[in-house]
Amino acid sequence: MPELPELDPIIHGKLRLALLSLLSSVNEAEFSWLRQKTGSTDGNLGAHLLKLEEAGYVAVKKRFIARKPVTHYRMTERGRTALVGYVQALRQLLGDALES
Amino acid sequence: MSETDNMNVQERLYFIESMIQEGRKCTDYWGWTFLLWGVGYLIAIGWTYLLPHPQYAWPIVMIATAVASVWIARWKHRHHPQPKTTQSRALTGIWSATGIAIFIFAFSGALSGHGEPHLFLAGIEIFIGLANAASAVTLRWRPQFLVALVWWAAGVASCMVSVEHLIPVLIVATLIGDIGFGLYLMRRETIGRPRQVSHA
Repeated sequence: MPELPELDPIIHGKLRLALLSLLSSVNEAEFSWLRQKTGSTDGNLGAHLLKLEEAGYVAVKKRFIARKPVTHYRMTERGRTALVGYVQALRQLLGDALES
Repeated sequence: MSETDNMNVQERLYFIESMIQEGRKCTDYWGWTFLLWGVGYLIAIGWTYLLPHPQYAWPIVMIATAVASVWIARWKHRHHPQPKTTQSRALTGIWSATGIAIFIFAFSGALSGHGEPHLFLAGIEIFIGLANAASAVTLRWRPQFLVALVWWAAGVASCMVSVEHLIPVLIVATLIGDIGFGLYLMRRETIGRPRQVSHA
């Protein structure tokens, strides 16, 4: 019996999965755009983005625009590799489920 | 979004795909810029013919329109932030470069006094057509390419017609290429079909 692929626990949470998927299609995005797209609260979103940042999956840049601090997030190469790996693992699981 | 979700494998794959599609949607609303600049051209033309000090009409109205564009764009971005993408950067580059090019061309032509009216207006119309065409190709969007053709046709006509027909040509191009197109975009936006940019 083939070994089941392991799913990355950092990405597995729904919000973190949504964040990485959103960031995979843009160069960089503001915190408020991510909040608007996910419908999450500031605290929850910040906590999950911090986890992704600590894992090296997203990079953060803080800038001042019109004297107001704006936080930009972008997906790192490591994050992209992790998301691709996660999708491949899901496809493998789905394939195994269909075969059995 | 709850962390304790119970999506199965297929739902997860669908969820990832839907989030990627969501990120690719660029719902920036730009109809207002076309309308604003179209109105700006008409005000400048009106001032030139109807008000005192016509020599100040174009510089003052164009600078005021540029300032208003930046101010409105910033206000909109503050309230509806959009992500940065390769395509949005390309479009910003096209329109910023065109704006700077027209500014340099128009001001040096006007200040030097060597700006022959036919070539002067034709040059500006062809610049605007170029920006619309580059934008249309980037977005793969035919209606904007038609707008580019309108501006290029105006540029060709400006080379051919007599001096007294130069302004009517500009007015027609403005009414179709800026005001008409701006209203068309704004109508699409209000009925919920903004131009959705597909990003690389």
